[in-house]
Amino acid sequence: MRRFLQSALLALQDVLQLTWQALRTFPGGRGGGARLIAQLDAIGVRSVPIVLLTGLFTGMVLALQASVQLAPLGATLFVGRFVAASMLRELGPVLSGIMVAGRVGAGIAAELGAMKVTEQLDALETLGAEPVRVLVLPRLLAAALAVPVLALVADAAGLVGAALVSRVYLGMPVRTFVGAAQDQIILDGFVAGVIPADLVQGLVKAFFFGILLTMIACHHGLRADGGTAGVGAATTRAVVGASITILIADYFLTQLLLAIV
Amino acid sequence: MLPPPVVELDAVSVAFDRPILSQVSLAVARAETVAIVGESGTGKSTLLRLMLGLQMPDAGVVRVLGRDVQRLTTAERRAMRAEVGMVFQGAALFDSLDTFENVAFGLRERGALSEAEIRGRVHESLLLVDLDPDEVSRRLPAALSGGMRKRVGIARAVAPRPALLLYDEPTAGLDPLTSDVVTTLMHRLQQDLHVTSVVVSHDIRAMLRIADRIALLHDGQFAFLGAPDEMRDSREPYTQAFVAAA
Repeated sequence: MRRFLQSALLALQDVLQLTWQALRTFPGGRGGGARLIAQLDAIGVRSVPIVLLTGLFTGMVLALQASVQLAPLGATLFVGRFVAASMLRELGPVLSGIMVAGRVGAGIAAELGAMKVTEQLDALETLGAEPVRVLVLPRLLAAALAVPVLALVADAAGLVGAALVSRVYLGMPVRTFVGAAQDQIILDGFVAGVIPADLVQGLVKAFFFGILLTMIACHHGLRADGGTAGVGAATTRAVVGASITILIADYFLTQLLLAIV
Repeated sequence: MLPPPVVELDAVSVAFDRPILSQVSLAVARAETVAIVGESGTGKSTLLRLMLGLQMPDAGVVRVLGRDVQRLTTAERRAMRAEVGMVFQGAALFDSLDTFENVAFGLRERGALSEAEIRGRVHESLLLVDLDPDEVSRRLPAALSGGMRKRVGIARAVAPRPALLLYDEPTAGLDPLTSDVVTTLMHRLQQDLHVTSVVVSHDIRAMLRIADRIALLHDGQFAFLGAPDEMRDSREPYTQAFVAAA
């Protein structure tokens, strides 16, 4: 256990160091803008379908489960409130993060790992390009921007799915569902008087999840060795590490955000 | 007075879990081609990494283009590499970039040439390695043969017109005919561009053909260092055995 914690802390230190190294290369030199746009497409746009599906079915299941629990209490009107709070604060950002960790994190670790074992990283150095600036920074920035947006997509899809299930199974008009969701959002308050606190919590979490999953994937990819088997191992470590880290970070971020938002 | 060596190794030692290089010294003169040969695992590629500043020696001094690599900052080392071209064993082409962008990559990073000049230099570099720019420019590395990838790797290395060219096993994995083509190309480039070259290779027959001097690594030291003719006539037992085995 002690050795596991030690190696986890050392890995965290390395990830933080890599993040700092990447940020120091901002704004990324020649071609930085083009690389950022390419990564926004790869990380953000191309993750929309999977995040949409995840959000949709999560919302549907939430509504279904909530209606089963609330029906005996005659409180099915609260389904909208329950789904809104759960999706915006937790499930939207967490499930987006985990889906993107699986899809994008694996891709990043595999791509960088393959570059490492085929000496392309060394080639970058010999051609005057810092691998951290060219490969890591655009991914870091893209994930920090894209994952919160993906969380919003998941939230919206979840609410739509829940409204659908409520309509079909509870015969609840969509207007009633939306009204209940709105009531919950209003009840939980606003930041700076305009932004719903539920949304702020979710977006802040998604921002940190995006950074964590990308940097963990980059860290494992850049350290891959031992040929194709090594790349495979690095990919697995990246996905598992990122997913677990998101879940652990979620707890601590929730504690912090509940205290300040 | 002779110009200073382009590459100077002064009593360099490197050890991993065992000693790899032991007090190795070598000076490579301007426009000279030095081949470093030896069995697998003798430290040939390590020598190239030392010259590139990708690795530091445990002892001794490595000077490249007059600069002590160990005393340079990371930024200074990066600037030094702007004058060094490297051809990697597997070519190390960037998978997501086509041939044109691969060859242009170093030129774009340096930022010294306009887009039109970059286009011209890439065109020229591909012709130098006997590739048709119109045919290969838009192809991704996966769509190139092994020999073509190696030649694109050479084109990428020479495009910035470096003062020093390093080759890591340039004919590894190639069939004998293609190996011959690449070896002849290296020799022609050296004559046309007068660039100082250090070639790490296991192909002693090819190196006897193109090198000005050959350094044979064995047990962490140079068992032989001299001209190809001297190597053929050497009475040193290991050197004799190495040449005979070729």
